[in-house]
Amino acid sequence: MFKNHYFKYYFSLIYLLFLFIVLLSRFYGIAIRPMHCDEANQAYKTGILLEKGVYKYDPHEHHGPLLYYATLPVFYLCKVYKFQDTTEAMYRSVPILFSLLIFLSLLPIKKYIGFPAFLVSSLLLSVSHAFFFYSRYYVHEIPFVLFSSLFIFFLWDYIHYQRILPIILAGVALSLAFVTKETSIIILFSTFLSSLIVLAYLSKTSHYLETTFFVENYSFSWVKGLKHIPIFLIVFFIPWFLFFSSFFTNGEGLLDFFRAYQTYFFRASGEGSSGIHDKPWWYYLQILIYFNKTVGPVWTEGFTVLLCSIGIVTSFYSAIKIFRQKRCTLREQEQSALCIFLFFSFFITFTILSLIPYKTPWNILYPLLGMILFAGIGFQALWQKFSKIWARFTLLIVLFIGTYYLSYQTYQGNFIYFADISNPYVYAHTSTSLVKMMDRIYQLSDILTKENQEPVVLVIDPINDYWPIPWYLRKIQKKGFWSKIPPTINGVPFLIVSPELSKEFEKVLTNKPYMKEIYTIRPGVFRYLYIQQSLWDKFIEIQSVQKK
Amino acid sequence: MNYTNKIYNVLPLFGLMLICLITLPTLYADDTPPAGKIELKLELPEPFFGGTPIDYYSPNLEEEDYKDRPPYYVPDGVALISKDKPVTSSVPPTRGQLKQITDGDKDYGKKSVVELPAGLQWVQIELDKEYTIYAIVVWHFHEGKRVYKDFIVTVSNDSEFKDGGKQVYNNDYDNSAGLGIGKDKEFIENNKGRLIGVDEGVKGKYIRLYSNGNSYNDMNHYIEVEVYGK
Repeated sequence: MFKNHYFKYYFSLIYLLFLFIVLLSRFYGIAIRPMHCDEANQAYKTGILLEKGVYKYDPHEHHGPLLYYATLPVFYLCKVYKFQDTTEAMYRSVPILFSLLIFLSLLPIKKYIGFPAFLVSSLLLSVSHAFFFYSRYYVHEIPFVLFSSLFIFFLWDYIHYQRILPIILAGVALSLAFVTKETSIIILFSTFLSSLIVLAYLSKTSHYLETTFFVENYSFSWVKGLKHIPIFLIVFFIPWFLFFSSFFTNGEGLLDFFRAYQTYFFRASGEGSSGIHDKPWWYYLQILIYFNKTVGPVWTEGFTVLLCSIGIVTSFYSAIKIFRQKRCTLREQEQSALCIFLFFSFFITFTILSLIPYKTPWNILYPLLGMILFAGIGFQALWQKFSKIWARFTLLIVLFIGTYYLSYQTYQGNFIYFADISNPYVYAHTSTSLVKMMDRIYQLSDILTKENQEPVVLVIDPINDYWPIPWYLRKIQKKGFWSKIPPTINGVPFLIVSPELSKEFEKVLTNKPYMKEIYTIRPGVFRYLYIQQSLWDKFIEIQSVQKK
Repeated sequence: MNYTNKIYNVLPLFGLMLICLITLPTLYADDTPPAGKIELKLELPEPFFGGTPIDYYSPNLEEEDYKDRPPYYVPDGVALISKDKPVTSSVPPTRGQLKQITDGDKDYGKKSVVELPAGLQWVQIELDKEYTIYAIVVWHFHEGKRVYKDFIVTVSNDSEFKDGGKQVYNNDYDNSAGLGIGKDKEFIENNKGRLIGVDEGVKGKYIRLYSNGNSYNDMNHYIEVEVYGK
């Protein structure tokens, strides 16, 4: 008892230290990666919410309201009230904090999966390239994974004990998952199926339980379950209503929630402009197991996938063993049932996501969390199977090497190849070249400001493909976005023009001297930057005397 | 014989004269190197066929030249002096080993590439003693078309280049590298490499090559560097 108390105390301390290191590592270099179009777009919407207090759910784009509202406290803490004063770090700190909660979300299932499995899963989660990368990415995926996983973990608890608190928490978690991202419907579907499967399994194996005076046979009460459904719906309804109605300011948002599925089902089928995101069914497997493009390194989370496979095989073997022996302990039944529940919850989702032609790499996170959990279970199974000291020592060495490799890869992916297309998680990402273009504009704007002139930037693209330029131009007051060449460009110091319009544009420029540079905004997408020649000459004059 | 027929009879003669005028200079072209000089013979790797055309523009970009490089002459006795010489760099490479830069392997394959991280980075070759250098040939990554930015080559006798070194190439047109504005051109990589000729020769023991990313990404790549001198 005394020892157990101390163990818990030291474990809590070490676990908090571990979380602190995770937090620090994720904050380090938070702004080095350029803002992705989606990040920039969402930041812009959050900026409107910050400045005008207005948010309207859009059933066609941008997913749910949670991310935007969740960012506001960060601004208030930083005492920032204008969009132009916001920074990448402010936005990206939000998913980082949610990612920390994913670690904590594993705590409720620790007692079911086993302590070694929990430890190994936490370790693999901390060094997962995908999780690290998208934890610093201002998109909805990380909070979505958090609330989806909390939903299934609380639901499992409910299935197990049918207590009121887990069903309330599951309802809130599912609601927040929907408030975050519409694809929660896939999680709901796969969890519904897995719940039916696990209930059937529990019902079947309850006859095999070796009961004692202290342990009762398990049986799920459907009557009790039906009574709890209204409670579940009420707690689901409250956050859903608050967020989609924009806190009572936009009743249309509640209807738009349903309308959105028309858009998302259409998009999932691979129709429309989203066709560029269509990929083969094995895309997610490819980025997890083997990805090698151009000169960059070989990327793999194969170590996790391998341990996960062992976890799945041993879990199903345990379940089959129970059926063959026709007897089991409560602990064995609990563990095997949980594994079945988790397996179907995560992998039905994985199968659906793989079959939908529309694919983006961040969608892998939720199934990957399942893989990480099974990897922990797999390592635990090996640990229990091999009890000799040398065997366990070997297992620890293997775990160390695997973790080291994953950590190194995470370091490379987040600090070296953070915007390089050789990285599997860099997807249609803003090029660092665009950041250089913006640096150029701001450098030259300083010259204008010193001469009491206001910088003006015109961005011209025939298909209105501007993002993430508006984000980067947020500090410049005078800017315009045009789909055709404006009638007059007199005195405009900066023009960003897409190559499709450059020939036509240069005709307009006749006798107006401009310096021209090219920058990549995304892989294969270019923009010309035209700089007024007189301004460029002043810049070069300054540069020519500057030495690093 | 009418006037028209006379013209027709003379026309072949004119044609023959025209051909002679065009071809004579080449027949009499002097392939022999100037006195005391020899032609620098380079072993070129296989060219890469494939990839997409480069979509890059810079006010300083040299037009792509598909022709063979004209012969380059160096003083008699000039030889390759950098083979297997030690190489250091501003930061450790993210791919490959620095010794590959002077190992003679110029292939475009990924196994031949040495990659340095993003930003302004340098590699430095240390010769065994001071030489008079007459040519430096550089192959960046030439699988596909790339332009390496802020490519600057300096030679010095100081391993730390505190004296700044003598620049023999600089295509940094906006001084973004902070080593001065260069007048040389940006160029598209290919299997021929970039020959930097130093007619008058430059004395030094250390050769430092800078670059600041390329038209494809921010990384810096080297396949091979050859230094010729005596």
